[in-house]
Amino acid sequence: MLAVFLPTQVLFGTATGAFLVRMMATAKWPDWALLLLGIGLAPCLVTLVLYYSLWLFPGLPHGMAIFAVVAFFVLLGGAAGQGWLAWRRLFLQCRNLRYDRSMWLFALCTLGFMVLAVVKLLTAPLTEHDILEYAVQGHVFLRDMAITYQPHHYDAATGFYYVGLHGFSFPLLFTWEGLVWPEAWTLSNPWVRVLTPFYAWLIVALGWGLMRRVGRWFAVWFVLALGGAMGFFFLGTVYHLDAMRIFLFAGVVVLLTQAISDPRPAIIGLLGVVCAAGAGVHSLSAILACLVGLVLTALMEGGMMRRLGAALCFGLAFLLAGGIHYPVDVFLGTGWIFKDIVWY
Amino acid sequence: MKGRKLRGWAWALVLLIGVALSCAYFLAWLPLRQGSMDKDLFERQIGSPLLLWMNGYLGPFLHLDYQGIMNWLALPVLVWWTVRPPGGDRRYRAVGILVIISAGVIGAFGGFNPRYGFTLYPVVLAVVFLGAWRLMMYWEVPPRRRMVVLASLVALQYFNVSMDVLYRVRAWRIEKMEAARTAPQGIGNASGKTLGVQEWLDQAGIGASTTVLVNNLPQFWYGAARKGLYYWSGSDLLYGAQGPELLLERRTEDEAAHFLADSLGCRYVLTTGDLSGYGERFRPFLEDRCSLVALGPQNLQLFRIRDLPSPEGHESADR
Repeated sequence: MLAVFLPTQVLFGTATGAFLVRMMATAKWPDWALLLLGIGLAPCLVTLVLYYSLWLFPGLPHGMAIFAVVAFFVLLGGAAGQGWLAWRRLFLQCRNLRYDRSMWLFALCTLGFMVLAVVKLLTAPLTEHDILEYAVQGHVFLRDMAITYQPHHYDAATGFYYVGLHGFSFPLLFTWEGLVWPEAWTLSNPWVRVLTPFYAWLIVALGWGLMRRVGRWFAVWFVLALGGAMGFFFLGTVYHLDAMRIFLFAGVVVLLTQAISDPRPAIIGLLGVVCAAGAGVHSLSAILACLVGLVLTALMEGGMMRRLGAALCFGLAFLLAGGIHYPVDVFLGTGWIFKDIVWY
Repeated sequence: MKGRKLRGWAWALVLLIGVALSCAYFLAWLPLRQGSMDKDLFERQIGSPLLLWMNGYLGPFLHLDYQGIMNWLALPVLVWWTVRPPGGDRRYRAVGILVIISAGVIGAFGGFNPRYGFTLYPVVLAVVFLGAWRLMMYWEVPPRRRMVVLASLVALQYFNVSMDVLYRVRAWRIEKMEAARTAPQGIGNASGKTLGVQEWLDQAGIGASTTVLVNNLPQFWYGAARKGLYYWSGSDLLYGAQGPELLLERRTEDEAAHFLADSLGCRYVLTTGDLSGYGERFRPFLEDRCSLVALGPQNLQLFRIRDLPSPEGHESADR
């Protein structure tokens, strides 16, 4: 599992975080929030590279696909420049936090998520319907090394029919795990299973950090309340894509507040990229991305031309970062939601 | 708003409303048994008009089972931020409008699935906390008392989740009793329950080339190259290269059995008792035209389509 976790979350995550810090150097975002967002965004960027590789170059050898992903993050890390220093600053800040009693609960909470992840890894294989659909489709991608748009995602070799309507990001996570670690399927895809508690923890960490800006103990009460809903328990324990898309949506809302008051292309572009990352995971995030774009252009500061420019920047970033799947699927593929939908 | 005071009795009333709502929801409104409700609506907890509104259309705020008890408190804050944002700050208005329209879209089109409403949960909860904090700042509530208010909110949330746990324990007991009552009897290979899915299928004689009608169970394909026909009994759709087609609605049971066995070369059906219950005609088809041959892990049931006289009057080849 570490063979996938270490490169993806640690190496690619730190590179993405450092790049975001560099890109948002003059924004009012705290470094740690961007670094968290970077860690959460890295697996989505991995699947973005795979998506384009498998779509544009069907039949690509496994080694080339891995190379494309690694090359992308090497470039990202190289472009991060001074952003890497943010990690050093964060570690220094964390050293001082050990004297802060309000942080002890957060440390306990983090430990709890780690124990949960290990226990789940050892005792709970994939059994739920939806995630198995994504897993099987991910395996089809891995076998064919190709993404095609067609009215029906029917696999003639096995009779499997992919009923999902969403972007291919989540199945491609299985593809990525299989590329790096071919035995993953025999162990019930441990890396993808870890993503559920991992993203639930990222939600807690993001919420905790943002609420600490109001007050140290305010953050403690907020996180206690956050964990007090049955839905959150399911979010962290039932293998699914929800933790991932909800973390990304929370990031989108925070970025939107930034973009409203400081609508620079870098911020609006990042907003579009994070929206697209969520849309790659689930259709609902694609629909919400449209609402985010509308709210942004309606409420941002500036005249009509500036708003149009922002809408264009947001739309382009969204499409290039994977949102293009939806128009292509509507016109060349399954028709997305514009057909009779069968609910499961 | 400045100059007003946070009155203890008013806050106690809000908490009492929360407690009463939680009690009514889990003890009276949320059913423990399906009864005459549609199975799908019962499973989705939207089987009555009240539940359709609470858990469906207004799910992001009032689905107390999934979202907790605090989200409805965000409604006045969202209206406040949208209509008259604090300090005229557009960011508050943006969050207010985005959450309201997102909740509207999710409630209207995705309210049947609590997971969709949960998308907004961290943001809505943040709105509740930040709104409460902002109000307490306006009202100059002393810092210690602010913490008491936040602590009481958290206590309310945990009261609700404890009611939720009690409800789920009761529902689980009933489900267990009913499952024991309706469990298939007299099956030789019940030891398969301890095996992995693929191991169990191998043991049941399902080889790589054996075609199986699979009732919405992707585990059939997971980690193995098997041949199946993707089917969903809930809508009676059989999925093939040309898309979905109805299996039982346009055929008699005999015709369906012949179609599966002769045209598609399929002699086996993989399902679970629960999933079979979604199809009005699927369960009778299993009972009348199939024999249960093995019970497996994850409540899987493997059926074999019984031998039938062929339409021409002689038995088909695979007997």
